[in-house]
Amino acid sequence: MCRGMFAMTAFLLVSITLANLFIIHEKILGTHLNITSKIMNSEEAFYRARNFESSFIFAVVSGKTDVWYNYWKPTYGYFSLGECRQVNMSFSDFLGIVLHDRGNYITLDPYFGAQACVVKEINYKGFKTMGIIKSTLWIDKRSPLSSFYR
Amino acid sequence: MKGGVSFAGHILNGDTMRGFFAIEALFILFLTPYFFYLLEPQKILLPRETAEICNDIAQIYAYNLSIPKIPGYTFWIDDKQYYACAYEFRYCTRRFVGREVRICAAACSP
Repeated sequence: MCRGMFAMTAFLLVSITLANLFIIHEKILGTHLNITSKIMNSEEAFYRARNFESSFIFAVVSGKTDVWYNYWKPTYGYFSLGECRQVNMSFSDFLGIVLHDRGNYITLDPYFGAQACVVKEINYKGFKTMGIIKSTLWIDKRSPLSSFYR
Repeated sequence: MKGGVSFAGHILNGDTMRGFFAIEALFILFLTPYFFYLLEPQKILLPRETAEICNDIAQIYAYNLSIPKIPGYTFWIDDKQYYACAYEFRYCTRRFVGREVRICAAACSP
C-alpha cells in the first residue's frame, strides 16, 4: 500500500464521525422546532374557533351580522340527531326568528322547539375543531364578554 | 503476521510514520473552529412565548380593549408597528374584528 494510507484512513474516519455528529445535532434541533411549530398551529385552530364565537356576539350587539356571516359562512339551523341541520332561509331571516331583544339582553332562542345552532368547522393547517353557537345564548348588550348560555 | 498488515503503516514495512505528526497537526488546525462550534451553548429560541404573547394581544384587540405595553416586545396591527425594536423572530395571527386583522408580535433582540 502507499505511504500514508493509515493517515488517510484515520482522517476519513475522524471527519465522517464529526460530520455525523453535526448532522445529528441539526436533526435534533430541527425536530424541536418542528414539534413547536405543530403545537402553535394547533393552538391557532383553537383561537380561531374562539374568535368565531366571540365575534358573533359582538356582531349581534353592533348589528353587523351580515358582515360577520360573509366572512365566516357558517352552517345555521337547528340540532337534529347530533348534527346542525341547515335551514332553507337567509341568515338574516334565521336571526329574525331566533334572536329576541329583551332589554339589556339579546337572546338566541330555540328554533321552533329545537335547539338553534350556528356552527363552523375550523380547519387550520390540518388541525380541526368546531366553532359552535347554540341556544339559549344570553348576550349582554352592556358587557358582551359576559354573555352566557342557559 | 510478520511485519503487520499490508495496508497499514508499520515500521517493519518500512513506514516510519514520517509526516504523520504533520497530518495530525493539520487535522487539529482545521477542525479547531468546529470544536469551538460544538462547545458553544445552543442558542435558545423561545417562539412559544412570543406566540403566546401574540395571541394574548390578539385577544385583547379582539375584545376592543387597549393594548398594554409589554417590555421587551414589539407589535404590529395590520402592518403598523408599535414599540419598534430590533427582533429575530416574529409570530403573526389573525382575528376577525369587523374585518380580518393581522396581529403580529416579536421579542426584542437583547
